[in-house]
Amino acid sequence: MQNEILKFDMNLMLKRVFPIFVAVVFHSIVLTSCGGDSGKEKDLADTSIVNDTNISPEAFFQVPLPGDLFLQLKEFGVKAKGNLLNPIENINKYTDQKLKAINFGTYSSDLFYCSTFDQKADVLKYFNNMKKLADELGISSVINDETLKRIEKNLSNKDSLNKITNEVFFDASSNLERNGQGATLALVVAGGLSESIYLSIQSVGAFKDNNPSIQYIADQKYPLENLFQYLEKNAGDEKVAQTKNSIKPLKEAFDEIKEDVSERQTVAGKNVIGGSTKLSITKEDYEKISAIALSVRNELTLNNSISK
Amino acid sequence: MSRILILITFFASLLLTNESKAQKGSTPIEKTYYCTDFHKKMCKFEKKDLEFKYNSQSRSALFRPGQVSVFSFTSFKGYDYRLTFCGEENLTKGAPIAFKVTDAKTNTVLFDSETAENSPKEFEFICNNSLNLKVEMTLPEDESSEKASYGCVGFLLQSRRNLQTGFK
Repeated sequence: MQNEILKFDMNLMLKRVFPIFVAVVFHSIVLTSCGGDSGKEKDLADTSIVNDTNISPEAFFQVPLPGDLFLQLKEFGVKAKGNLLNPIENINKYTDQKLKAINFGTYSSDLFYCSTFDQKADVLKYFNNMKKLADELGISSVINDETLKRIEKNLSNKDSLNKITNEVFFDASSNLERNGQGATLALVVAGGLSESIYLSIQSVGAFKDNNPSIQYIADQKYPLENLFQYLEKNAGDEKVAQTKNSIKPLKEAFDEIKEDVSERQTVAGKNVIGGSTKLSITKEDYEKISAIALSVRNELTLNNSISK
Repeated sequence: MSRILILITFFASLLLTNESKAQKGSTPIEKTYYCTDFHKKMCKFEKKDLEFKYNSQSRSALFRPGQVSVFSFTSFKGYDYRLTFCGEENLTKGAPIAFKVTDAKTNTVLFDSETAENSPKEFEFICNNSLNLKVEMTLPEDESSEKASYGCVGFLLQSRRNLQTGFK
């Protein structure tokens, strides 16, 4: 009896269910092959898992946001200078992916400069440039119409503007990272840091002994080291390898700063770390770094200015 | 009859597609998305100290039990820093996340949570001179579960200008 039932079920399967199965498989194949984007999305997502979990231990290199540097300089009493930012119209020169990514970083840094030093007139223009580049880099969701409305509403509030700029940069970084676009992110960070070093030096001006702003610029050697290692990690990408070569002279100029023995601070009940040496920047170091920062910046932004 | 079969086929395929999407929702793929802000939302420091602000070198990522991760960040002279680690319960099962802080240049170990009292999940320090620090983080192993589990881990970095205390 049981065999009979089985036989009956098999007949039913072959006659009715099998065509359904074939149709479902066909339908799935059609869905998969037509939905090019969804297939791509899965691949990218899988890649990000591999990046996050497979190789152990994987090294990450964190670089502070450009806004942190400007905020610190402002605390030291540095004032903004005009005509330093990467011109808005330069965006028309950024036709390939490498230049778009680098200059998304450059314009982010300019935007941090505007919002930190209260240069309201330029904020919207720089946001619009970032939006255009974000769209072209495939991360349009990080600056939408809602973001632009928030900016317009907060133009007179530099704290809010800084917060929005931070959010945009953070969202752009996360978006690129989780989509397996580490190489693009490396280019964005390279553009951002080289622009912020250039803007800082130009804003601080000539060398003075024992100037905390100049010491803080010397200390940018450390984020630059992390950036360089991050570029090296992604140097399999030709665009990143080229950018690493462009930034190398700046890193080498920072590496020439000598280290002096420094008194070690002690505070009861607190952990004090930071070694017993500090960077001791000379006038020659500073002038060399200043000149190289300008030429690196001009190369990355396709700017023609010779000096400021 | 054949029309009914076509309709059944269509709805069955829709069901299958949705089911596969639902299964995907519980995989690590989607978790990478919500890990992004994990440190901002979940790494709360219990002490209500003043003036510590969020530092942009914080980050979150998706991890599996027992995984080791190394990252480097810059600490600047004149600042106090606080590092806090937090992980999803399904990943850590309440066990502490071990971390070691070393000088990135000399590899000198400056702090090791495994040798410190009570396996702290945070570390606070004053930065004497600017330097790059390397943090090696090790997640607890999970031998209880046969199924591979994933979860978010957050590294929250906070900083403030050195507080000048006492009479000068």
